[in-house]
Amino acid sequence: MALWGMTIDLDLCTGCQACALACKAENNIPDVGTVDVRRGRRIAWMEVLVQTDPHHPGRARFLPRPCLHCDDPPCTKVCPVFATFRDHNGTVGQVYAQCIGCRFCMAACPYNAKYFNWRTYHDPGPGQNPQVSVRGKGVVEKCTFCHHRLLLAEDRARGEGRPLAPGDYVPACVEACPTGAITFGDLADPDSAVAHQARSPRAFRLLEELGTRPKVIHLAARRERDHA
Amino acid sequence: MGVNRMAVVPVVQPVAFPHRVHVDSETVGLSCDICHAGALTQTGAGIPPLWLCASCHAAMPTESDAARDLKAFIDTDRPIPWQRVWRLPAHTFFSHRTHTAVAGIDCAACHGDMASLDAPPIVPLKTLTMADCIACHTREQGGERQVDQRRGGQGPVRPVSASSSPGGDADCTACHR
Ligand code: HEC
Ligand code: HEC
Ligand code: HEC
Ligand code: HEC
Ligand code: HEC
Repeated sequence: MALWGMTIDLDLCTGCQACALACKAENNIPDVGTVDVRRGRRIAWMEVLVQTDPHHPGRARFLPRPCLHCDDPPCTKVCPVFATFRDHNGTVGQVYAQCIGCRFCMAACPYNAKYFNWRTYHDPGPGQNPQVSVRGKGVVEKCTFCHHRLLLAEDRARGEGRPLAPGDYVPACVEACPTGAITFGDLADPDSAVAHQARSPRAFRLLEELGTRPKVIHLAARRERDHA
Repeated sequence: MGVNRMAVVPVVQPVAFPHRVHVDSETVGLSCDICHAGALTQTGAGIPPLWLCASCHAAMPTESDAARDLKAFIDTDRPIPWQRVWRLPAHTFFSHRTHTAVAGIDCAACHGDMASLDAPPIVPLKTLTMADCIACHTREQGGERQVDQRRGGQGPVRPVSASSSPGGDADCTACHR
């Protein structure tokens, strides 16, 4: 069993939003419209958080935040219908057909990585990725590590009678990052690039004191330290 | 999401295509994957393009209604608007390749005896609900699955984690996307 994980090197992140856009296109993420955005109902599976500093105008820090796929996820424990759960690859799944929209999981997620469809924002149709379902009104959605790509990659590998190779399965945000800041792979394989990065002294996990054990690991920016 | 079961509304096809004459080795003897080109190699099995029909039928006599309907499409070079009979909701993933080429399951196990039909099926000969998928996966695995009776025994509600891949998997995200 793999343990899919991701590292994001904040030294390399320029805050360009390519990951967020690629994610939006890949996963049929709706544009909720200005009214709902003002109500805080924006949906952004991959969100590039921006921190500015009044003492250093013009300087900003960026922190891309997908679902962190906690190894001990708080959101799954509160789901009354098991619509969200940690699957055998460690990925936190969300079964839209099973979701009743109670939003307990959203309240439980310390990273605000889950989003609710307050309305039917769009219908399935041309221009959307047919590999990803279009979520209707009343369900919670979030980053799935582009799980549909894993299903297809596994299917292809099975057809070719070989095990899944590194690089067969890569989420859209990783592909899109122009600086190569995001590394994705199997954390259970100590030789994988992602496991190597995760052992870096710069590695930290968001709010790790909560014991959620995120599998998205950020690498602290060296540049920031030098300049400070 | 809503209820999105397989077609129970009768399907009317634009051409009364008979599977039997095309598949039977006594007559034409085509194998299924000549027309359904992805059935062994892709996720979707696919429906044959018009040129494939035309390659035989363009020069064949048109005595029946069915043959005349087909000829009309061939002469005007319009793709035949075939209707889907088996169709899963968009939130599920299914791959033919995994089941046919890898697991070696016969088409008839899921589609019934298509080879014997003299007219297009108007409803699925066999239904493929989630319960049907899981019933076979469970059987293949020869093991016990936790089936939650709250969905009327329709499937396991609590995901069975740490289960291994061979023989299928009851982890919801193996099929749901
Ligand atoms: C390899 C050659 C071949 C191909 C390819 C082929 N057919 Fe046929 N088809 C036949 C033959 C032979 C018959 C039997 C003709 C008869 O009984 O008079 C037949 C019979 C039929 C009939 C019944 C005709 C009747 O008079 O009752 C229809 C309808 C038909 N085919 C449609 C199609 C369609 C649609 C396609 C494409 C998906 C197709 N065929 C592809 C050879 C072919
Ligand atoms: C000559 C080409 C041809 C061959 C050979 C052929 N089919 Fe088909 N098949 C079609 C066409 C055309 C349709 C659409 C019309 C219909 O539903 O009958 C179709 C429809 C189907 C469908 C229903 C698809 C849906 O919409 O859900 C199934 C299942 C199917 N075929 C299975 C088979 C199997 C199994 C075999 C081999 C035993 C086979 N076919 C051989 C042409 C072919
Ligand atoms: C394990 C069950 C299973 C087996 C075995 C199977 N199918 Fe299917 N088939 C399905 C399901 C489920 C669908 C509906 C898929 C969807 O909607 O995504 C389908 C759809 C189809 C379609 C509709 C068109 C399409 O592109 O999907 C055709 C044609 C078809 N199958 C042909 C075949 C043939 C030919 C074989 C044997 C070589 C076969 N199937 C074996 C389950 C099966
Ligand atoms: C007749 C038996 C049978 C039926 C019916 C069946 N499957 Fe399977 N399925 C299998 C077998 C056997 C495998 C394992 C293939 C392998 O890896 O060798 C499998 C594997 C899979 C896989 C690959 C992931 C995994 O868990 O190994 C998916 C996804 C899948 N099936 C989906 C479906 C869906 C969706 C349906 C219902 C529409 C379905 N299957 C119906 C026998 C079946
Ligand atoms: C082997 C494949 C497979 C697995 C594993 C699977 N499902 Fe499904 N599921 C399906 C298919 C196919 C459908 C669509 C057909 C139907 O409605 O029965 C479906 C439909 C559903 C529906 C919608 C039913 C409706 O009436 O609209 C729900 C809810 C659901 N699944 C929940 C789950 C949950 C929760 C799990 C994990 C415990 C799970 N499924 C595991 C294949 C699967």
